[in-house]
Amino acid sequence: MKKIIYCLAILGTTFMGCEPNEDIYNNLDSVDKPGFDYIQAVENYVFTSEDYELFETELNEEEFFETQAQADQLIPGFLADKYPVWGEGSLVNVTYNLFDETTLEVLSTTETLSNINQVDSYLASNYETAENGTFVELTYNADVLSYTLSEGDFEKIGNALSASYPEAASSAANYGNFDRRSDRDAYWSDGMILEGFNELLAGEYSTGQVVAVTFAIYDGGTNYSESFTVQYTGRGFSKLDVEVSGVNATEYTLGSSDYNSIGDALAATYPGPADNASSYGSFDVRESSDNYWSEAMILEGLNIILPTATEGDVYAVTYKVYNGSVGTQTMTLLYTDGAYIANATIVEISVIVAKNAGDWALPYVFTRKDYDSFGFNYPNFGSSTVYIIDIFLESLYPYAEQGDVAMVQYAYYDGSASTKYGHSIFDGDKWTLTPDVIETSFQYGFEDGAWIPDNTIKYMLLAADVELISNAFIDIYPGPADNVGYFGSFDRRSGSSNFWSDEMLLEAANVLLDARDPSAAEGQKYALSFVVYTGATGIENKTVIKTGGVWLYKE
Amino acid sequence: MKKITRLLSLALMVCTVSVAAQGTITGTVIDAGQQVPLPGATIVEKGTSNGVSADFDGNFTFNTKNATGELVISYVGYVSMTVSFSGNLDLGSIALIASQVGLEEVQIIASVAVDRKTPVAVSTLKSAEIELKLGTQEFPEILKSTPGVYATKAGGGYGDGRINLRGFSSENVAVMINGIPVNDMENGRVYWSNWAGLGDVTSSMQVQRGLGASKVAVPSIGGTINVITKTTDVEMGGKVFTSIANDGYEKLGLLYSTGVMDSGLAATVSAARTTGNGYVDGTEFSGVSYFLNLSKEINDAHKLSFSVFGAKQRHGQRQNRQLIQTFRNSERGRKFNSDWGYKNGQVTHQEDNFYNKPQMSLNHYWTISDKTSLSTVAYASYGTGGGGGTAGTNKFTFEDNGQSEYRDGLYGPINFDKIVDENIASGANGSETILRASHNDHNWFGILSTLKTDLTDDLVLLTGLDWRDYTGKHYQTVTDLLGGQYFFDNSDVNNPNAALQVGDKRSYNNDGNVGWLGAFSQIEYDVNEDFNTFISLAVSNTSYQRVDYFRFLDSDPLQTTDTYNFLGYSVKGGANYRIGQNHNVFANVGYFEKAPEFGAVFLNNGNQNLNKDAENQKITSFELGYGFRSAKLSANVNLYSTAWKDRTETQSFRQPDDTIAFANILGVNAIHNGIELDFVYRATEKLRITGMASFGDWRWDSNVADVDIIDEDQNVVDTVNLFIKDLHVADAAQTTMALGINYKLTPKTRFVIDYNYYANLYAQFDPSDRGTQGAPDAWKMPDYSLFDTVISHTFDFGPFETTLTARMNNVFDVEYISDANDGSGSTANTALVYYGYGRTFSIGAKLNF
Repeated sequence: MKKIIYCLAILGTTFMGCEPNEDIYNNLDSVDKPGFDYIQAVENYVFTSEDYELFETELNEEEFFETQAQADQLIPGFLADKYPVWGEGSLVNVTYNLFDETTLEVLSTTETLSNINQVDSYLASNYETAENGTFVELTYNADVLSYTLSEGDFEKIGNALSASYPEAASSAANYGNFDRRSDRDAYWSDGMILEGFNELLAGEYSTGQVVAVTFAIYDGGTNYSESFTVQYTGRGFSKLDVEVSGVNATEYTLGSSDYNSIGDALAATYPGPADNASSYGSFDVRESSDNYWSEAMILEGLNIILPTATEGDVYAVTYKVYNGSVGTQTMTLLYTDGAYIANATIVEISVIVAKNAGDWALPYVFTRKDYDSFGFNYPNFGSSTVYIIDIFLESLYPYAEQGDVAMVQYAYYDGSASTKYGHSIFDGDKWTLTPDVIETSFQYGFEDGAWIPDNTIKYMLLAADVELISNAFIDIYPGPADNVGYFGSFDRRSGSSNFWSDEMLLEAANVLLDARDPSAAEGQKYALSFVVYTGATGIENKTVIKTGGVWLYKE
Repeated sequence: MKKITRLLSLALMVCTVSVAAQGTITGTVIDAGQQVPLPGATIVEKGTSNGVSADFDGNFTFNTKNATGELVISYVGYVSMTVSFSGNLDLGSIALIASQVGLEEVQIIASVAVDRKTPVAVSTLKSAEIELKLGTQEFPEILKSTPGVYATKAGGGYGDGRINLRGFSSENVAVMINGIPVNDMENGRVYWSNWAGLGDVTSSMQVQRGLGASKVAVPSIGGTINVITKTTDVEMGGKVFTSIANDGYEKLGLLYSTGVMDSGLAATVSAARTTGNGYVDGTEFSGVSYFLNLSKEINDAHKLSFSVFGAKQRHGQRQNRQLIQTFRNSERGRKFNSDWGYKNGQVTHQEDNFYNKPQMSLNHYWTISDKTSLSTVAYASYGTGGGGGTAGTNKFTFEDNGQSEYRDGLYGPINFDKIVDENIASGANGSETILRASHNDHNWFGILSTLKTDLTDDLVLLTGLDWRDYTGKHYQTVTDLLGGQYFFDNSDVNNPNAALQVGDKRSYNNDGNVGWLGAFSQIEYDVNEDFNTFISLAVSNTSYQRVDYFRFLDSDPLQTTDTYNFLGYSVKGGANYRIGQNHNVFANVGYFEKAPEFGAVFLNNGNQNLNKDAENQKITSFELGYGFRSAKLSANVNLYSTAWKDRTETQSFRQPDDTIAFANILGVNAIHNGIELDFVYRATEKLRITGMASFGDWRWDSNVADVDIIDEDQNVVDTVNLFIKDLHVADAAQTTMALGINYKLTPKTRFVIDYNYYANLYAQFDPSDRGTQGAPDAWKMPDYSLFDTVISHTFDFGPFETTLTARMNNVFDVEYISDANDGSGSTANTALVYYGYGRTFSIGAKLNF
């Protein structure tokens, strides 16, 4: 008996393992862990002059990166040297100088647009992701109106510009044309002609409207007229380098017989208006009148009296209207497919627009006159004079409010001439043109053993986020949704009736991020942290990436 | 390993002492009341160091040094007896009287089992052993070397220990103190922190495994733990005791007894104060335990005894279990606790616990005649206290890597100052985050009365009544606004949109009223001296009522529910047969139905949509036992099979009329089978070896598959599937072993080594959550084994008999996981665990006077 007991005693002690958890520890220790085997850090870092010096050669001794691509190439190595012990999942938001010239993006469409409002609508729906400050050169089919300068117009122009250009103004007023002989004192340059248009027609058109203006000239030869295609910028006209086909419109003015013909032809269709037009030799355009002629009715009438023309012919038809008193109107008609249609001249043009405060608008384009007013010998800015832009904007926008942004387009000379685009911001006191070298920041993350550009946003779910998820899923997953709404934690016990599986969490992440960051770009990553219940409350992390418009787990 | 073997062989070395004998004296030491042997009683020749101890049957043979003299026969808990001798002598039966007034009567109320007579599997620890071994351990841990027991410190806070018996957790283990059931009347659980300090005044602690001997209806599926406190000492005297231990543990206590005075009155008073920082970080504690007993023998027929005991304590808790990885990562290792921090330079607990549940009882013992006695106890307990936690925005979590903006450093303590600053900044918007306490007060009254009649010499009838009235008060209060001006709460319909201050109630406020009326009857029939049988029947009615002060207007009759009654009953019987001097066999069988718990009726803590048809849980148990007693060896083997059927499982669903109804799903059953073995071997006078092995096979019985839930319109609204067949029952080691060596280096110096081994331990999971087919067993936790050692020496220090005891637990500083919750995939990587303590020590001194 004694022996048995002793045997038992010894046997018992052999059951003793000194390290019960050895296998578990070995297993756990085989995986590197943040905070222990490596450091998982989240940090902000600002590049210093010394840092730029490290890349003297690559940066040509400048304190900025030429391009984002260059930054993305150099910064990872820099971070690897700077933070040798940081590892997987670390994020550093690096602030550095970047050469970030505003460049022109080129877009084109076959849509027909008539003015800046339509350009804005078009870009708003076709380039909605553009950020404020983006410059776009949009090529589109512009609706072109036509206008022909009358003798009276030359007189008005002559009077208006007599102080600026006495000789030329007098000539235009006297002869009813612009003298285009460049060796004469009375010479009208293109710029002077546009000034003339500004005096005469500014305010007649909506901004962005393209107008083919035909005017008489004298060049000492046989050309008696010329035509400019101009665009109204809201401040004046700029000349477009395009020809409007058929812009040499045939002018036609309705005579009394024409009104009779129209009246007879439409007597059955529009008895009142037809009779009225015949009787008075004009179209009653008062909408309140029983004899009202709409534009469509007038067009119908004009089609009756105008002769058959060749395809593409343009007629500028002038007719009398009655609007309380008698006056004239001109309608430009295009002959196409056997009929005259109104306002139908279109031409493909390109226009530079910039997005400002959500709207697309024409930038302010510095003109020769502006450069002259600054006393420049050449019509461009340079590094020592570009500051003038901000001073100039003060007088251009005397009522600017803090936060207003002005978009500008200007010529620049730094060994070669170029056109630059930019924006200036008003701080309530002064305008400041955003420089070409900007201070920017970009996030780099440590992934799979190396630093790479990483846009991960670390985000801890707030109470409101959990509420949003709870509400969104209450009908789909009643138990889990109710549970998370009540406790604020996701039940992660797989057997539980309120269990949130990985798949369900991903669905929740989609709902949440689509609500919180609907405009997140493709490839955007979020490292989401949220409170979970696994028997105790804790925090779980999941990283998702926007792929094909939906959020997926990042592997 | 080598060290241990060497240690063991040293300890096992047996020395024999031969003395020149002058005379041989024989006798049998027995308990005067129950007439049972007192094994281990000491017999010392007065004035010499010559002595022996009695064997398991109380027998001793003693060779005296002198031809004449006096023998002192003593046993802990009994009044020593001195007898004269001359030459060879047979003293026959020496009946020692219990040193405690009324102890015997209490034992009747408490249904204390008698060795080799009561047919149940039982282990008993006497106060001497508790005093020797308990040290700074949690009270239930003293039972860890008992078969079928798995006891841990849980989170490690003071009083947070737990015990499972035969794989059943506390709601299925009856705990009785002096025969008064102390399981929570609503949820059945036992909170040991309520009884911190009980060890100082425990006279004996008996574990009856399985159905047990209790006559009253108790939830003893796993077993019954019967704690008998001291009553009052017959003799005047007392003791002062003090301990210091690891992590700033300090304890100072006093016990004094007047002895029975001429007036027949006797009083014992004891108090102790314990403070410490706790082994686990952030578990600072302080507690005062108190005990008072007044006894008066009015006349031969009537005895009165009044006692009050309890413990007022507050301790920081480790509430949140963590991943193994977290403990591994934290520089605090297994001491890591996320639930505390600093506020204004002071340790502040995110989770704490404070209770004081004094229990008062008045016992009346009436000897009506030689054959009939009536023992009655009327008791009352007014408990207050609760558990601290947080409310508002949760700023207490941390990332996988231990980071949190609200903690100082990785896995660091909570920076309460930052939370305070944010609350201050929140200004008139009130606190974002506060500390709160969930109170669980109770008013509990009861009367338990047992009438014992000897119908014939062989037939004893015990009948009785068990009445209880309980009100549990549950509410939360704001305990610390953490710098803010107020805390917003809108959960009280009687006080909506409240700006709360410290002490104001929040979130919930309700009462649970539980009534209990039970009757029992037991017949004990001794077929002959060696063949004892009993049969027992108990019926109890439990009534539940809920009052919700927050969710219903005071004018709303729904604020108080109707009373709902549930009937439970138990029937059990057994027999013990002694085969000669050495052997006995016993068998018992029982069936009982346990009324559903409060929470199973008032699902989701509501007053509406009640589950009035909650099902009883049904328990069937069989047990066979064999005992062997010889002079040197006492051994027991038990085989048991317990079937626990219809564990409460409910499912709520919507009726066509939009009301919520409940389906009570039957068939969640567990079968606990096992074999238990224990022995005590007295190798020599000086060396005692104890051992235990317990092998359980505890599993969930079968799947609950395709159970359709059908509404009133006969539509299937849900189908319940629980895939639990053959899954191991979790949260308690199914295999445990223990080996103990108790060696007397000198008659007054003991050296003890205890070894415990735990295996087949599965992480806790809820069978109700097992809805996936083919899911594996819960994570099987690593087996572990621990060594404890004690050395104790008694000497005279001036007039005081002084005992110094030094204890060391977990001698080899084994890092082990004691408790775990199963995680995703049932692996070590996802389980949330508590670690047990590393090596701890305590040194105590006791001065008797």
